[in-house]
Amino acid sequence: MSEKASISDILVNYFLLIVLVVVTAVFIIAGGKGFLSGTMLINILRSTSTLGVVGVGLTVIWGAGEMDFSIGTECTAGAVICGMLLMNDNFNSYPLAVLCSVVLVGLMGLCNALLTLKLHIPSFIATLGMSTIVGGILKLWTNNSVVYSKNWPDAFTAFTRVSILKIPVIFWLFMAISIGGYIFLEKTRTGRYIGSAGINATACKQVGINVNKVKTIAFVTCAAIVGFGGVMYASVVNSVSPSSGVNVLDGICIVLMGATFLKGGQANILGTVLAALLMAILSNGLTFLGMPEYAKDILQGIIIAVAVSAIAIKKKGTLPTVSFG
Amino acid sequence: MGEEAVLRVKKLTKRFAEFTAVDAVSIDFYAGEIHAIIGENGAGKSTICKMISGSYTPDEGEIILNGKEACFKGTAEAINAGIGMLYQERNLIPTLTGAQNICLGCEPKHGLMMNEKGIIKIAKELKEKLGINVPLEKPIGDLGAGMQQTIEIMRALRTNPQILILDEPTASLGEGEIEPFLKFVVELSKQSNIAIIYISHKLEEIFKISSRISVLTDGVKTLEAKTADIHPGKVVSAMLREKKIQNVTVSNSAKINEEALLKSKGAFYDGKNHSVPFSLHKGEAIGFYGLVGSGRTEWAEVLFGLRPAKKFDFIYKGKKIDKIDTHKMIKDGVILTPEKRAHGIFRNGTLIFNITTLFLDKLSTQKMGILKFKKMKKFGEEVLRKHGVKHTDSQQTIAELSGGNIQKIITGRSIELDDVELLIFDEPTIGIDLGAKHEIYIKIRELVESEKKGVIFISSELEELIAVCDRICVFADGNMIAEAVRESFNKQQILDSAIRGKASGETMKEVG
Repeated sequence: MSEKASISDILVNYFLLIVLVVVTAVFIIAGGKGFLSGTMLINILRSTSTLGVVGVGLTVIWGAGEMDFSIGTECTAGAVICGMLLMNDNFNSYPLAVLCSVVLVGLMGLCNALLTLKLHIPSFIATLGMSTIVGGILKLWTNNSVVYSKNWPDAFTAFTRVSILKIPVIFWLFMAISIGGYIFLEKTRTGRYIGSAGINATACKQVGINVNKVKTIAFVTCAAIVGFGGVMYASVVNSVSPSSGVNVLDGICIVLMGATFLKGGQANILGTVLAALLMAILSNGLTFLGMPEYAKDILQGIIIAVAVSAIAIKKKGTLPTVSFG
Repeated sequence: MGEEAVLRVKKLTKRFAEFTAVDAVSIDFYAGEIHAIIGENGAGKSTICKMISGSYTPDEGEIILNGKEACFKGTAEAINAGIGMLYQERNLIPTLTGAQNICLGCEPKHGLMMNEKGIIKIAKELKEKLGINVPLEKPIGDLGAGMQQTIEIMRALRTNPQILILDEPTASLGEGEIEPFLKFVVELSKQSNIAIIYISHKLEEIFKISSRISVLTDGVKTLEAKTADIHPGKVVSAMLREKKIQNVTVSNSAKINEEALLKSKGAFYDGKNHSVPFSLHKGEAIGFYGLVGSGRTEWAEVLFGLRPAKKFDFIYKGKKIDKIDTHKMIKDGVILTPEKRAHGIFRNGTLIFNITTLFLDKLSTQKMGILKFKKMKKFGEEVLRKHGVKHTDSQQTIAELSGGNIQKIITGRSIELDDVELLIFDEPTIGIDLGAKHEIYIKIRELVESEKKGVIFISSELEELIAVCDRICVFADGNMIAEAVRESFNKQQILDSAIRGKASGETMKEVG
């Protein structure tokens, strides 16, 4: 309640940024110039982008106090729908395919919302079920194999190939979605209602806010953004498969880490973006230094544990959790 | 009556299952008046207001606003129609600022985005209009309860309501915050031509600020008068209910000469010192009476180890208790049945499961703790039979039973504990029918008279305490403030003491 923030407050609030700076510094010192090379940076930006977009989507639904465990499948679905549609000889409009992906995955979000809000199934169960169902359908559709097609237009990989100001389009897209998400959550009414419903749904109902509508918007927005993330992912790997995409746990991790930034436990876009960047730097940096892939997992886990415990100790009862039930 | 009422409720009725919470209540509310509604716990005060504010739909009756019949589907419609309500629970978003909370639900827009400056402007104008001083640009979570309360009222006033409902607004306020708050309410009703509905069970408060008082008793309006025309005594007698409670035979069985089973002086918990001085002997049932928030349950939770206490002075069976934990208390023969039945059961568990969970030490093998299912079933069925629980199958889930039968299971299994000597029943009869209530009264007397156990019976129904208990301890503001003995129980004086927070009347012994 004091006017000035104490040093420990600053440490807790900016922990994520501090770690980001320190980790980058360590890689630069250990890796020398190679770490700052163009390819390395572009690699980092590319992997930040897909994971980051999925994180932005998850941040929206997390803010509403709900959970979406189907982000992994939503991301895969976004990629598969786009790729499979374009396999067809008569279907060669890339923008239309992307639109279909986003709309169909958005519908998946609507199903999540109906299960959670109408049937009152806790969202983590509903979305887990949805994830399995849609995952199975995707496998059926693709014969459970990696799909690649010569039919695909050049536009399919344009996000990754084309650069503006030497930075790949995919990263600009990520930035645009993040800024859009930030404005949506922080500056619009609906965004404020999403955040408020996540904190105290009763209070919202009492001032006449339609909580179910607000949460439905959050579910659909999350799914649509994540679906677009899937399209981005497909452009990076230039193939689609029913078993690849962004890992659910990675998505949850960055939102969790991000929630510790500035807002002391509330999922927020700025934190999610930073966390996505940190993850990309960690994994690319460690690979660059010749460390095994799983070294990243260990570090990432430690960072989460430290950041979350710091908040738990500082402010009791404001942990970045969603209620499961 | 010269002027027309802004809001009239006519024959308003609301039922919950078989229980009628509000029974054909008609009241008129006038602009510029503070109309207080007073009544005991569960008298239906909040239910009426929730119907007016659109949270509940009435089962019968009409709500007439400005001469037109209104039927609100949800709080949003009621707000638009000019009804603002402040609920008992604080309902703010702690991360938002005062101004943002005030405008929550109808933020001004700037194109697609919210207009933050507009939000602050609205809040500031409101603040100036009311002439109060509250910080508007700080997150609410950093403010005290009084400030939060004021901000919540500002939120209710933002839409310029014709009617403002305040549901127990002073319940969550600290000592120093109540006075300024009451002043603010009086000022508000004078300044703006709002009809204020003020729900409270604090007699002093309502006589200080209201211009009209309605009394509710068991969902029925028993008195309506101008405050100037009546005196507190009349209100208290209107609050008394004439309930038919079958006689319970009580024979004096207490072993007063023996050492007390439990001697309590007081304890320090929830950041305050609480004085609860009484002693309970074997073969005695004492009642804890008080209004909502009077601290009966809290004290029981401290004794039972559910609520942490820094200091406490309890002597149990002649020994000073130096450390409380629930497991140990049960081992020592103390058991508490919780106020909310739902806290005492495993909803999806079978009857057997619910009964035997307390006794697994006895019903499993000594070393490995492997459960003996046959023994469990036998034991469970015995408890069901002994306590007359109406059921179809011992393997059915407990949630399928009626409240009365669930309560029988909770009390029944507690009684079956080995060497149990002190039983605390917290509101065991709430929401169950008369027959089931009576069985519980008889059980309590049986426990104290033939088994020589000590019982603490916490209840908000004075009648049942009077029917069953040897003594009644009256609680107010977290302390025990007065005591009455069976020979001279006087309903009116007990209720009066609870409302005034001090012993009033010659039959009440002041304590503390």
